Amino acid sequence: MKTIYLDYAATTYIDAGIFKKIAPYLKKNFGNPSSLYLIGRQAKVAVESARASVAKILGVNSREIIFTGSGAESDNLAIFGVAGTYSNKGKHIIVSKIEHKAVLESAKKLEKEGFKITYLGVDSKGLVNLAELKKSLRPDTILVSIMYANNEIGTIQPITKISEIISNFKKTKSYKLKAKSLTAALPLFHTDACQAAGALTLSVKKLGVDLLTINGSKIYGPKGVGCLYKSEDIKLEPLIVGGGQENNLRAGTENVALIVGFGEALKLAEKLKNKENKRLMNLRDYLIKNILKLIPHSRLNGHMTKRLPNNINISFDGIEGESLVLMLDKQGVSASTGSACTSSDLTPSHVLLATGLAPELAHGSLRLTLGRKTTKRDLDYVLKILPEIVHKLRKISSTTLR
Amino acid sequence: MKYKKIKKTKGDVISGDKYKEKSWVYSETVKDHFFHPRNVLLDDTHYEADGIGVTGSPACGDMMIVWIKVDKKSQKIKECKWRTFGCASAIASTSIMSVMVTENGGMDIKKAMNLKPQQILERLGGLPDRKFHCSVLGDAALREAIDDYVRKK
Amino acid sequence: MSEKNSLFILKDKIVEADDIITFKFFPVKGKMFSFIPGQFVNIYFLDDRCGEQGKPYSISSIPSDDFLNITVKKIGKFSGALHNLKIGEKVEISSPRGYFYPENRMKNIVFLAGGIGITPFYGIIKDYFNDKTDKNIFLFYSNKTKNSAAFSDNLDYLAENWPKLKIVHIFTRENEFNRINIKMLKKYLKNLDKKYYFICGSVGFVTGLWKELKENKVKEEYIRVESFY
Repeated sequence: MKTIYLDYAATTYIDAGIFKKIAPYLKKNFGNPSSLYLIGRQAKVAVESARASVAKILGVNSREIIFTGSGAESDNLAIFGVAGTYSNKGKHIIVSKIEHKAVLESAKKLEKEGFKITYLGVDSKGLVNLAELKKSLRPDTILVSIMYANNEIGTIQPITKISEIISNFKKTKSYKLKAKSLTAALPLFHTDACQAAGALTLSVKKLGVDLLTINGSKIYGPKGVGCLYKSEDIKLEPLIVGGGQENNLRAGTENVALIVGFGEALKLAEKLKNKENKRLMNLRDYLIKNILKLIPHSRLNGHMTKRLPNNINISFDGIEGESLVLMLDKQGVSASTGSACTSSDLTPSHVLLATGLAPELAHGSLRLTLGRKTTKRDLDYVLKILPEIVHKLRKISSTTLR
Repeated sequence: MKYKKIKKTKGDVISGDKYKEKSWVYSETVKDHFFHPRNVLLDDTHYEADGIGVTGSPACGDMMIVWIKVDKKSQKIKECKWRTFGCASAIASTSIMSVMVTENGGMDIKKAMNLKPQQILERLGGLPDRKFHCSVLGDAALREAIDDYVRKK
Repeated sequence: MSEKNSLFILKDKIVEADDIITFKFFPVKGKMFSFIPGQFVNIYFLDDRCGEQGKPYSISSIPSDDFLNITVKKIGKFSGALHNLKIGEKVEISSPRGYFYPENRMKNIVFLAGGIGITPFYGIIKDYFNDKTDKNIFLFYSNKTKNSAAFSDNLDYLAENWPKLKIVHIFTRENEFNRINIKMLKKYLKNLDKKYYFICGSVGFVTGLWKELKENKVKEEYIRVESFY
């Protein structure tokens, strides 16, 4: 049976070409980049070359790119790093309610240590409440962290606008403090761009961010590698200390193979971006339109247009997500759900709940995310089997009594 | 003999050979009852139940309704029908529970009242630790149905 | 399903043991409802601090009290939030439910309690004492240490002054028999027959003992369980 993978937001396969580029670093090019001899220097070149390539795409200096082990690690480094360094200037941090758990849990941990956290609400489509952001900024705010595009519902935040709001706040703050520089340094602005990479611009200048997270597993690169862009002007307290790698910001012998893979993946993703976006958007809209048409009592979660090109998230009345996912799996389709049954703490998707969705609809949500190998034929197959599956589950559901 | 401590892992019961493609996230029995549930009440409009029990809520992610018919003379459960909003564990739990109380001529209602989630779990071949509550809910719905019947008598 | 919730106010918090607190709630309106010791209620916060869901807790007070006690061990988010409740705060409490209590015909009862699993038994035992029951009760109470054993002083006092109740304490970190097992049950009960076993505690505790009893020819109808999860 053919399998149709529609969970690209969870992870992607490694592009074959990229795999070929990684392989030598798992075999004969095994050097430690800190070593003085030939294969060490070669490894160093590979790492720095990847770094330069990533820096170029973001429009920043190589020095401003830190390689980490994952998106979660980059998020942790950003948040704990800023908290550790700037806590003498303030202990207030602003995040949105729909951040990735890596950001939310870091914030919660800081809250226990005495930091004050504001969790910004979102509207029914998942857009952050900008008025609330403006009101929440205070003299002791040191960090704002708002994700670029949400992994569950695909909603894209107006990062540039948010950056402007923060910037204006900083200007008035300086004026009030009669500071020497034109704008205050704080608060800093971090964005988790793991889902945005490969689809949206990563130009740091355009976005106006001080910190930015990307990971390899969402862009057809390897798992176990991510990066954090950190503006040169700011300091971060490192999470992992030791041998001084990554400019003393992340100790540990660099995983050359994965870093090379990451650099290549991001390069390729940028190259294919425009064409893929167009192709995926068509497929996405085709799928959304037809699911909503074929299956009654279904609704789209997230924003209609300010949405990642590959994201579909739909709630079906009267049924539960894990059942849906397992039935699809039996017929070869891989997808995911915001249902509680699949989370470790038995609560449904915090993102869906934050948009005001009723818990039972959060339980009955299905996320399909498309990728490079997705074809219209795949989607037609889904459109054939999905209505039957929903119908079957509704027949046995206790909430659909006649 | 010491009792086995259930480890605090997410404990997915993986059935089949883990290394072959056929392995599944639940036991074969759970898989069977999930894809081929028994005793689902498809049309409740004309069903005259002797007792009805409801547990859970859609907001919780699990909700079950159980309808039973009891033989007046023998006090055994003749029929046990159900509907479930929930995951595979929830569906399989209610399905196998309905089989357990109606097989071999039907279970005496006193015995059925004492049916334990552990018995449902045993029959299912196990469930991941975090799904234990699914078997509890199925069990509770059955008890509510029996209680309903007894009160109505 | 009778889902009648009523408003209750917290009047007292009593520390019973490490991480275990008894919460004394009084109804805001009207009188305390009746219940059968051994039953549980669902507790709901008035706001969404833990989502909208409530959680079940065994009642540790008795029907003749004009308040309702639950005894909670701090394990996760919900129980943690309960522990943070301040005196005067209100919660919603459901009507009592569950069937975890001995029937009149059961004369010889064995309670197997794992840690916080003591809660339903505490209410049942107190109620039987007040009613001067003719049942014989043997309680096996397993805890990590004496400091983690809720109600042990009260229970021991009762056992010393009331021949109907016998208690064996098992401290898994201190004792030679470091678990409740068939060997221990046989030692104290002499034989396993004609007794009704009630097991309450974690899923692992309950399932383990249930299996052991069955392997030793105790019939299903003589065993009742309540698992805390």
